[in-house]
Amino acid sequence: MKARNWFMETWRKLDLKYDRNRFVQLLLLFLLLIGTVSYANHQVNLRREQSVLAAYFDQITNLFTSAEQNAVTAKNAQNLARARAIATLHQLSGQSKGRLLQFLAEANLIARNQALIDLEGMDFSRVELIAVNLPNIDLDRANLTEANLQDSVLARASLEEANLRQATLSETNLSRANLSRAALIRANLSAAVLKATNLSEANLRGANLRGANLQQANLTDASLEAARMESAFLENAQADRADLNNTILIRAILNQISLRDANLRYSNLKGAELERAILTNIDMRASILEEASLTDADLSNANLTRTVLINANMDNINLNGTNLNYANLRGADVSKNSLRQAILCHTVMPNGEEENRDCP
Amino acid sequence: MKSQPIDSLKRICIVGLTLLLLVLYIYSAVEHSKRINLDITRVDQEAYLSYTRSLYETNYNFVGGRNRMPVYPFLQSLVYDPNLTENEAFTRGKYFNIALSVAILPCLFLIFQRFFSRLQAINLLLITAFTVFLFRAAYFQAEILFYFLSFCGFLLMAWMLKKPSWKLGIATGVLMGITHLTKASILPGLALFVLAFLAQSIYLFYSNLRNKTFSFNEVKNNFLLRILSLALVIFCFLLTIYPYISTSQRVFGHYFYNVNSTFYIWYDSWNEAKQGTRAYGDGKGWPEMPPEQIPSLEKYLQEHTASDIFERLFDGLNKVIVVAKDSYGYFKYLVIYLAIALLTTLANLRSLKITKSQVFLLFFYFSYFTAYTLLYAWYIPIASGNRFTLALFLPLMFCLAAAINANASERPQIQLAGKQFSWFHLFNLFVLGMILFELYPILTNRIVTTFAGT
Repeated sequence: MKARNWFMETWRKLDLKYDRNRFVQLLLLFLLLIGTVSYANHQVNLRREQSVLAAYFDQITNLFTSAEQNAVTAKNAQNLARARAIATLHQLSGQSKGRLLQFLAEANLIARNQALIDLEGMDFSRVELIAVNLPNIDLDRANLTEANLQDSVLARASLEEANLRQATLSETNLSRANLSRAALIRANLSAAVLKATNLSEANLRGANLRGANLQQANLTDASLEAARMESAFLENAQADRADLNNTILIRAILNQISLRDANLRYSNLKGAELERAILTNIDMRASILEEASLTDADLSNANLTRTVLINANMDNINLNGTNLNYANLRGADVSKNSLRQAILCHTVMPNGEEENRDCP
Repeated sequence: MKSQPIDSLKRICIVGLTLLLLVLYIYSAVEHSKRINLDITRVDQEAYLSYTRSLYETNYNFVGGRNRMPVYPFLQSLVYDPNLTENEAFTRGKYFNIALSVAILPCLFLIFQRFFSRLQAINLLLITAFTVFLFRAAYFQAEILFYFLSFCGFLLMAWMLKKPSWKLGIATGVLMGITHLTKASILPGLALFVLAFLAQSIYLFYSNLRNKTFSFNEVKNNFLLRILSLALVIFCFLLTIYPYISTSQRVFGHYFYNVNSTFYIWYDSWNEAKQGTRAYGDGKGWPEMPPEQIPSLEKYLQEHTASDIFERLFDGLNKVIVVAKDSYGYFKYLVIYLAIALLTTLANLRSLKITKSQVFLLFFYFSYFTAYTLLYAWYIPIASGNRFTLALFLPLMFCLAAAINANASERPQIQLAGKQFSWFHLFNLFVLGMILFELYPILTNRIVTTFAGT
């Protein structure tokens, strides 16, 4: 009680009154102080990181120069270089990590198929390398979580089983790169160039692939669930057994794509082009194919239950054994001959009438 | 002047005791998570973690199998870290649920305090916290959140029947929508409410017209206001759940598609369900199996006799009672509150005044508890345990406490040590003593030996 009385008495004596102007001034002063302290801290860290990096560059240069003179120690030098890289990476932030990676690439130490330093499992998370040219590098199994490699050239790079979760790869050139079994969950690959890229068994769940060029890409067994792929270009891509469940492919170009045994349940392909596409045994239940072009596509044994095919162009389509139960084909351009082979139950036909020919 | 230090001391004691009980609650729940709930595959925790992961990885664009609802996984996804291993994510999820239950408890206290005396509110809170919530807190499951939301929904519906307004209608509709998106079992309750409300409105319209105490315009406006409130409940409910149900319609062909209420409820065992629609992909679309094999009420009635149906219900009711009796310790409080509520009501039957309008509220209460008890009893062959029936605990305790409260001012007065005490005060003190005394066996033994899925 004494303490409480003392506190109340002191407060009363201080006669502190709320003054709006003084409060704003104090707040600004406080913010300025925080800003100055954090800027100073940033500068100190930057200098420390620069010195750490410089030391690392010197060590690696010396290491490989001496290793060149003595062939026996070459393997040891590689191991040592890897160990030092691991130790150094722990002390670096994103930008410095980027400089380190660039140094290793330009020194030709991580070239694809002839890497002198194995980067497997190395922590390059949040690395920043914007608009740099790093073709043909080996980053297999590296940790590149939340990396920013925007606008860079990583063509023919090997990123097998690399962790690129939530990485920014928009407008990045990854053509002919190997991203097999890589984790690209929620990665931003908008407008990325993925021509003939190997993405087999890669995990692209929730990835952003808007406007990406995936021509001739290999997406076999890849998971693209809920990926956003509006206006993506997938001509001649291989995506057999791929999981494209709930994917948004509005106005995407999928001509001559191979999607055998793939899963495209609940996907939105409104206005997409699927001409000469191989869609045999595909699961496209409840997907939207409104105004899509399916000319010459092969949909034999496909499951199109509850699919919306309103105004779709289905000229010369193969519907042999295709399940069209509850599908809506109102206004679709499809010949009676093609529909003769399909399974029709509660199907809304192009003229708007319901067809129950194959109902059990 | 002298009362000030006494008040301060009292306040410090209350704060200290509250903190002590809170620490005990959190410590026990954490111990339960470390010692008892170690296996993610038990009950449906793995499925909830998988739902959480899928929501996170697909940028919240996940359709799901229409078995579990999205609100709880969404909340869990806010603390989900993809860098964690499954076990680490499981532990984090359990701790999140403990924190959620701790956040819910003060809200419950505020609700109780609004309707009851402080002592009664403390009793109800302690019973809920230490005989129900504590045993369900350390689990990666939506139960605690659902119990709280469905209780709030129940109160709002009852309030609507007492004093409807358009604001209350909006609040009820939105809350019921969120509750539905937490666990899809509120539709029967909502339907009963709509029925009771409509019946009440029609009755009031005609009785007010007949009494001639109000003008026709007043009666008409009152009726329209009530109907508007009800329409707002339904509209806001549908609006809240619309994104979810419209996807259900597109993908599964029905707005209120849920594998449990559409199919599993019409199977006689979980094994039948596993070999039935579940094996034919009921979580990916309408099951692709011969239509005559798809379970439905019609098919069930065709294949079962009346005695089969009664047997299932009777067995289910028996199991509900047995499970509740052998559970964490809440059952005896239910029995005590029920007994006292019945006794006091019967004792004061002469002075009991129920207006005809209140009959509809009583009908709602009665039909709500009866319908859900029967439904849960019916569903017990598919999902055993008490996790469903516990959703009735808070509404039932609330109603029983309210019934006791209604007779609080009535006699008898009890004389103790030359002083007169009201039975009501003594009853509440007795319950307080009971729950405080029971804390010892709960915290030292029951919490580290009882698995919540039992």
